[in-house]
Amino acid sequence: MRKLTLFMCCLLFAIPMVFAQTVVKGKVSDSDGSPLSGVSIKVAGSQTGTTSAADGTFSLSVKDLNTNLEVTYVGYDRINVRAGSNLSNISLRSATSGLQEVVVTAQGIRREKKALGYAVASVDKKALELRPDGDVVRLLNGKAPGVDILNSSGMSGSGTNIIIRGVNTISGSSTPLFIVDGVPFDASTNSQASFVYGNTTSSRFLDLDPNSIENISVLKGLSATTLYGELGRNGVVLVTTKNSSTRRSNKKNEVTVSQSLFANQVANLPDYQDSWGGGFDNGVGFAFFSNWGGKFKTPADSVAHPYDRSSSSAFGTPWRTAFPQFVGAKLAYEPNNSVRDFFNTGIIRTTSVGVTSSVGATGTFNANYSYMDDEGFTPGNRLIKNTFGLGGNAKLSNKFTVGGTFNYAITDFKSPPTSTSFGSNPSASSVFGNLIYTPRAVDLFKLPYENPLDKSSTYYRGGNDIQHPIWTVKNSFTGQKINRIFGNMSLKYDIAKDWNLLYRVGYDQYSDYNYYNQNKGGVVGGADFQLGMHRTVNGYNSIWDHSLLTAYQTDINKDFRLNIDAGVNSQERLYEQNGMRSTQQLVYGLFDHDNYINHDNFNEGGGRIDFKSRTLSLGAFAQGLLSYKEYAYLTVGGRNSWSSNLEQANRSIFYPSASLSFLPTSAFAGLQNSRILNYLKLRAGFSTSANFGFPYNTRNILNINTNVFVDRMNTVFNSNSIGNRLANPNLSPELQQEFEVGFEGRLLNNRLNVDFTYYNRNSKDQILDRELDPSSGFTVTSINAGSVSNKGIELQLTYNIIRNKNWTWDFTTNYFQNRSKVTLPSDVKQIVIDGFTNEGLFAINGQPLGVIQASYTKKDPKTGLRLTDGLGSYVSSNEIGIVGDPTPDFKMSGISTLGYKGFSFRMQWDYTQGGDMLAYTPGTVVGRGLTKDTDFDRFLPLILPGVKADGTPNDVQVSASYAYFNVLSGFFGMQDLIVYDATQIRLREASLSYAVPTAKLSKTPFGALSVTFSGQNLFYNAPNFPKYVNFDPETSSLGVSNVRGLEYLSGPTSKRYGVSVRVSF
Amino acid sequence: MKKIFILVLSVSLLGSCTKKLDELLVNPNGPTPESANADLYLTQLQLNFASFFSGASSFGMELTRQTVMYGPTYQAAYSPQSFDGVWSTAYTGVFKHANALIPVAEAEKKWIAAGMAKTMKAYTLITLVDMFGDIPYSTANLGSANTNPTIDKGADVYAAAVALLDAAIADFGKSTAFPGNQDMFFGAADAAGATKWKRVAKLFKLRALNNTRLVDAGAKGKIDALLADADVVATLTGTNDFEFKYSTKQANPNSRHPRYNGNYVAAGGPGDYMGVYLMWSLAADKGTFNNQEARNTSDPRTRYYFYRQTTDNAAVSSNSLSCSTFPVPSHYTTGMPFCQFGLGAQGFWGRNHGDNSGTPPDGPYRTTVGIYPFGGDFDVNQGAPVGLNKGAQGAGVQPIWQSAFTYFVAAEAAVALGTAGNPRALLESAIRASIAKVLGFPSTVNVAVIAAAVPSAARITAYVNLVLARYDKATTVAAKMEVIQQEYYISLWGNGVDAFNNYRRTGKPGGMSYTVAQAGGNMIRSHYYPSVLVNLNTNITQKTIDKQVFWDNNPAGFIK
Repeated sequence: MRKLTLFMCCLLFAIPMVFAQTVVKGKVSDSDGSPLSGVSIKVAGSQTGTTSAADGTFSLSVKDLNTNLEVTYVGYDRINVRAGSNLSNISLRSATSGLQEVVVTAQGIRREKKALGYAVASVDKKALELRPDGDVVRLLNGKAPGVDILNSSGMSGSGTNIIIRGVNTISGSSTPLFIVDGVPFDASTNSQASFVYGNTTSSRFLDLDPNSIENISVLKGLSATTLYGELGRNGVVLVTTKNSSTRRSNKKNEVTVSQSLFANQVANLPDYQDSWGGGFDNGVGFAFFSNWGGKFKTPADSVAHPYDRSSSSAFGTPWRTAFPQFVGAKLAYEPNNSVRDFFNTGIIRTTSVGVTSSVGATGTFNANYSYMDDEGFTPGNRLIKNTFGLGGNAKLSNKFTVGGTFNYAITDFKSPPTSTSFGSNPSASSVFGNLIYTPRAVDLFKLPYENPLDKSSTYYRGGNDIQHPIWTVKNSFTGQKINRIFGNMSLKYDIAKDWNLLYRVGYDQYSDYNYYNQNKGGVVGGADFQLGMHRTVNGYNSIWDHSLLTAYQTDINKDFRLNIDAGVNSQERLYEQNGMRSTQQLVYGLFDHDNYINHDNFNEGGGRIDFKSRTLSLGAFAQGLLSYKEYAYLTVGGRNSWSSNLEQANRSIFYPSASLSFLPTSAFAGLQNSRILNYLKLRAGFSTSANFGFPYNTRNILNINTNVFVDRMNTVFNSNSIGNRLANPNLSPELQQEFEVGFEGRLLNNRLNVDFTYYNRNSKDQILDRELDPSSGFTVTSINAGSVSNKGIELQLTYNIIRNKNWTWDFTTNYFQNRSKVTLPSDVKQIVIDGFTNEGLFAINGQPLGVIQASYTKKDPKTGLRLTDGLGSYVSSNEIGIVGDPTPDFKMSGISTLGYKGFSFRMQWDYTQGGDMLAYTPGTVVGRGLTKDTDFDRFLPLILPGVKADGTPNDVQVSASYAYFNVLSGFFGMQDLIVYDATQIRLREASLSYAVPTAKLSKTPFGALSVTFSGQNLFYNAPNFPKYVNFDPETSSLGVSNVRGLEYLSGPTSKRYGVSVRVSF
Repeated sequence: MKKIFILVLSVSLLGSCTKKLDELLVNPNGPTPESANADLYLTQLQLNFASFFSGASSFGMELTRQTVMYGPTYQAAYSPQSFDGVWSTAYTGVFKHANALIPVAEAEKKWIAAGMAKTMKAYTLITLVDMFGDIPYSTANLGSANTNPTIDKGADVYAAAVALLDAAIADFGKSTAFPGNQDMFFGAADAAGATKWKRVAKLFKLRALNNTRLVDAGAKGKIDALLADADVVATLTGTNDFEFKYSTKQANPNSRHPRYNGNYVAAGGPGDYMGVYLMWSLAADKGTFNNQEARNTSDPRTRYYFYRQTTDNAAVSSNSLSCSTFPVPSHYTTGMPFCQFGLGAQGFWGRNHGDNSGTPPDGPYRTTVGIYPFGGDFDVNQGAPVGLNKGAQGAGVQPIWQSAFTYFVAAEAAVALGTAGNPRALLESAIRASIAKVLGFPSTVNVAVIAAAVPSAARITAYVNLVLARYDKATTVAAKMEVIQQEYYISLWGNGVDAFNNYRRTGKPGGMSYTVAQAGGNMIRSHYYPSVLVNLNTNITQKTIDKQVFWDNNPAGFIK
């Protein structure tokens, strides 16, 4: 500010004075030179003033050319100019410096940031565009404290978890509300069957194109989201697309084109040892799952070819007929690199074109198109997206403003299935399930993956009970194809100068075609999979959102100003799906229901495919902001919601909110003009929200089961059954309360920015899915009980280390920690949140939400050492207990941006401290003797550390194979042995970009030209996992879930890097 | 002004929406419970009952060495979670639907259906007590009225079950509306079908009395009374098999025997290992199995019970059958069969009791279940891997109560209690009934067995005589009981419920192979409570596996 004033003064003396006239004329533009309309120009200390026209010009009568004019515009720094100065090019600086920054808060209300009594994190387009990932949410990772993001797997297009300020619900959904250009946007992940079957599902925010996003704001606390009602209780991700921009270009038309090319590689594979091969107890056993076999020799031993088998395959063809070339053949017993060579380098290509145009005197028009082809490192995995967007805005002469956006997204995602594996064959087809522990002597490329006669899978095991990973890639396909239209239309009417009325309709409609196709001839997952399966499901999702909003502002007196916003909203969400699953393929290779013998409408897990769910949520809300002298702000608001999920008596709830913001640096003269403390804002807020739970939990239904059994006389039986969910008509909304305090400050000559928040949220009367002892007659019911509290700290520090003419260096640190605690009523012992009932994530009274329970090794109460039994093995607890807490102690990220002239070098490092994970990949590859962790002399017996029942040290010798496979692998009821601390550090992003100076482009048709080299997930280290497993804990086998911490051979993560070029003209 | 405006808008909007909010409360995915139908409940109940028996039987089959128990110790063999399925099937599958069906059926005077529901409910209650001891009953299945039921004493539950059987017997006498096709056991389309149900209810009473005979001073009188009952007498002179029959329908829906589904698969080989002791009992104990049928002197049921994928020992190696290179464990008593028990040359490929070593690549070699009672293949030395739709294509049965069992119970009671009847004659009838049932089975599922492979009447008689000779040599009650129970055990293939009960009650067969690990521990006397019970019900605490059920007054540790 001060600098700017100085600058203006210089300007004043540099030009000839213009002498006394009563009317001054001028033009206001932004720093790019684009004209700004609606800018307020006032004579200081009076009510005299005007606003700029569409082309930025204004004229104003002044008595004295020495009077100061105050130029203010929402979103820009306020400046003062002397009326007598040259007003032809008043340039306003965008309010990135904070003091005058304007943010969009709930329901599209624009507020100066200093007036907010709560934290809002904002991520600019610069942090989102030209990245090698098409998933907007993944790009937010580490960029906003309080926002916790976890990929479900390294597959391109796989689902993504996003959780804001911890999980506040035990049984409900914790996905935040997505608002795109002011209207709700469905962000669900429509998984078709349990995670066990590994049907990777993308999350529907994948349909957004990061390159056409202008800005993302994350409203974290309830103070920020109350106006959105119960749907905003998990936080709100406010996405503003370039299509909805009302910024008028400085040129009449501007076209921006960018092209990117990235490589997508597997980020982590174990370091396998090359000394020992397949078998058990050091005996050469080529056909074993485990790699505890003989030592490799030079020259290599030879073993009988595994396809030289006397038996015939169950699909009917004798092996020796199918593979005559291998009769009598031998294979060398030597190490291979099957796993490494299985993966590809995928290519990611992104093209995007954006057009922005000024139409007439007041209109804007934007169009964006983007194409992305993201090929995974796993064969068979690919994501193709086409996104189209149009937006326009026009201020009409009759006080109406009309605007709207229209987006069309086509997403095509496919991947091979990745069903869960406990380290010994997967539950169904899985591309990773048998791959990661391929015995060292097996060269999967030399072993034909299919029987040439019947196309069935063939592999090295005598019983042919492992599905060849290449067979899986060539014959098993899952995916989704989405056609989606979303956008909004709005009509605003200015009732008076300070009072307007806005009607807005939002729509989000998509059809979601899901498929799981598998040819016959597989060997895992039972007959349904082995004989060929074809499941197609069509989902239809619709959101209709209507809002009527009014905004009014008035200056009560010299010191007080009042803004009131109020509105009503109706939101109807519908999800409906139907489909068919066919089994027993007739002719190999054709995926068509006609080519299958059996048809039903149950998915792989037995769940019904056909269902529908429709909910209506109504709300009436109001919010008032009382400002005092530009340094104290009180916001009071509230909303009443009505939901169709609960019975009439319980379906309405009112929840208020209040927040306060105070700026000592503006209020107290003594704090002004300090070089140490430039700006300080204190804020506090208390707010509430509600949750109505899922629909249809208040009334029992009868299950109708047709065709449940066919007897020997071909009589078809149908049945009635009483479902296992006990309805609860008295269910009432759960109430959430949050208190947050914080401060924002700028120190050391504006070089250091601090933003600190502490929050404490308590969600009471949780709508719990309480599991019941089946002897009650039911297995689950919804009840109101228990609470979850989340307390956390969010801290953002930005330090401007260097700023001079050529060099700039900024460093930002984000810090986030969250502690949750569950309180349950005394008659509820625990609740399974996800996973399995004997190995899963639980809510337990007094514990953090989502602790891991599994069976564990028993410990000697005296010494605390593990108990061993007569066999020299540990003693399993035979029951579950807490073996870990997946919640990290804290998460941090450090973002460094170094600039030199046109060059910019950016790095983002993420660090997570603590958080446990029950991971089968390390257990399996170590327990099966594959990695260098087990490259020791295996002929020596081992004694597992521990004590016998009588308290004396264990002295029972066991073989290395036994110790690792039967005990340490975690396969046999001792899961605490495979729970690891998931502390990790990661180079999340690095980029180097160069923007050609505009001066050099003046003679070219280009307005801007830049080149960026960037990469993601370039390095990571998780030191507490077995060293040579190189395990990356940033994955979750549960897919998209409230909780994390379980891993069932979900595969490696991805590393991406490449180059982007962008031009505008 | 503005507020009024908003208020009016809100009220009008909400008013029109109130009706919609009400409408959306109705779940569109299913009808209301009032539309329930007794016949459709009956189907659900019978399917759940079969599923309960199948689950309960699996545990008993493993414990009694019919199939493998991986162990390696009894302590580690099962976790509480292992029993969640069978528990849930009993309470939310059998009891819930029986309780829903009975009042509807009684109101509609569908007495047979009501009696069927009571019979199946009673059997399920008895079996739960046999497995777990004390269980929730009087406070169970009350829904929201009690979500934490408390346990009742096992003896009280037994008494309640017997009362249910009495009520069912009364219902079967009131026959007016026959369920016909809806009866998946007998297809009771007339009074004859109702009579069969009445006999089943009485046989279940007999079974309950025999189960509890050790703790019931009046057992002899009660059993004698039942043995004199005309319905029971009728079953002792004819047949009255109570079995759930599966069909050959592979999909849409899969209606085959669940154990067939798991063993006759397209790839990877059978899912189960056969127990070494049971195979030895049939193939080696009383004769020698020979691939050349003419030289075969083993149990006539052998080829019906088991299907061998390989008929020789060519595939046996330390890599495929690791126990083949191990000596017989030193803690085994003399004669306890181990590993290939000398018959490896014929391809009997099983797994020892309590062997939890990793699964070797033995998919194409394991012996699997045969045609009886699982609907598998009849073994005529095919030596070919299993495959989908082989043999009887899954048209097996759950042998819940076969006629032979009634003879065995009568023989046992005669020896132990001195009830009516000649135990030797009853034993012979029992064995003959079992063999006749097994040998007659293929024709009931449309499988033709080549005549040369069907044991001749002479061979059956030779077998019966061999057993009777053993019986005649037995002088003590215990020795006689050993012979009876060995035969009872063999006839119980596929019914682990009674095999487990018999072993705990009589300690027979006494020569069952121990767990391969010396530290295997003592036999489970009752199972852990399921984890869903212990973890979700605040009134229950876990119990130990050496806790004996109320009718088991044998000393601790008397069976391994």
